[in-house]
Amino acid sequence: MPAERDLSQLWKNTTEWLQKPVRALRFARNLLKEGGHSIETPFTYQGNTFVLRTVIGFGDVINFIPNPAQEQYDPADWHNHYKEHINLHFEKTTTFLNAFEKQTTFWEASLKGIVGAANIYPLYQAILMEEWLLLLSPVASAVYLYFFGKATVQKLVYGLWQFAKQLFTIRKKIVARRKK
Amino acid sequence: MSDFIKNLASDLLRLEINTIVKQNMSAEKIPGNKRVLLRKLADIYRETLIDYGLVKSPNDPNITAEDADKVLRWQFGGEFSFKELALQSGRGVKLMEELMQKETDPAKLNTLNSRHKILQRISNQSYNVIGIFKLFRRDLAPDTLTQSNEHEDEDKQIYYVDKEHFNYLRYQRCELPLSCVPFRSHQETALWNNDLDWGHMNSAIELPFLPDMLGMIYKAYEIGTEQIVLQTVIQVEGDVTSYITPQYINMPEQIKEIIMGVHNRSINTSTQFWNTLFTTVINLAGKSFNQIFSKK
Repeated sequence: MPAERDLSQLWKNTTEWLQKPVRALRFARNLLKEGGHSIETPFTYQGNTFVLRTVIGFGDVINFIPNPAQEQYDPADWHNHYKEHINLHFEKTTTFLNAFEKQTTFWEASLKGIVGAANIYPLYQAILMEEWLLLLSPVASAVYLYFFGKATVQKLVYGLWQFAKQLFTIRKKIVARRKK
Repeated sequence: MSDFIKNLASDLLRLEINTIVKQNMSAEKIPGNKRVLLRKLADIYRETLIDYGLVKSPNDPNITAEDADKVLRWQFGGEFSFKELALQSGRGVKLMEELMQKETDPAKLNTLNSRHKILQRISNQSYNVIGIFKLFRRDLAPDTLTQSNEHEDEDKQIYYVDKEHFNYLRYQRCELPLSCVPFRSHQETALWNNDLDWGHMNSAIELPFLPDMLGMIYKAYEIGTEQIVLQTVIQVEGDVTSYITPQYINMPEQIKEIIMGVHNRSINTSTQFWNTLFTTVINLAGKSFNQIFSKK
């Protein structure tokens, strides 16, 4: 059923959207708390556990490669075993970085939305005038830009905001005159 | 907040990719308690200086009176401990430079050169940590900045040494001077410092670390005294510099292939990531950020 499908898609989109800031915040928290986000791939080789680790920070990336005592293992065998885990490790790293890229785009778009709204009508004025719906506009703008944030649409949204700005300025003047 | 974002933006002006080979690396998590983290960092540095034969542990039974200026008297992770580490590693750097000038054997020269780099790292990082404690002093105990440290005064030193160790030396090793006796846990400065034993450290109040301080400490702890085998530095203006150490060149072919593979893939993924992060942070630090947070 199309309506049900639409609803489930909406639900999926909404939950994904809600999760993104949480993931981004978790990454930011790790960066702030631990100086970097750590991606680890543990594996066992001849009964011992080793960890392949990448620490991603702002401006630096550190790879830690475990190196068992050379005399204990045959380098060729170690190499073959290791290759699989390196591939897995970099798949994890790429997935993480792709997810982060999406999140940063989200935050950037949200910020643009907030800035746009702040330019059109300062939020504190909205509170003063009890325009509660207007408070939601930055969020709506951010969501809109995130999901449909193409240049042409952005221009359209910007044009609409400019129009709204004029309307609200006029309304503000009317309210001020009435108060007098 | 605006300074923080601007610092982030300046951090992103260069991307550094390091690949480190860690001997028998097992899954060990970074300590959550920052005081413990600093203590562990200091322990790593102390062990390295002892391994290089530059200093001695106060528990070493072979200490003689002549070793007085080589004994690591601070066994903790605070300003005084890092000051001692900075001093001893600085001496080590000078010693390695002297030895390198005399050495002709390439293999030995390589060893001296790598030790020289590690000692320089210990010295630099120790001074960075001392700088953090100086900031804590400035904010939490400004009076102490102008006062001299009592434990440095020879007449008062007796009050600051580890009594148990002192008694042991007095009865068992009478010939050893007081300068071979380790200092006790320094609870007097717990408000801004971390020269505390494990017991006092767990009960002490948390130190007010800022994000960039923590970043520095965590990075120092992660790298420790391991040698970086490959390093690539990419500057925002387009310069790319790669460093390859002799340690890497002397490795077996298969191991070299693993390391170079990891390093190359890391460069590819992190440059993509850097691009996104750079654009976002520059946007945040630029117009958008100022409009939101700096508007009056």
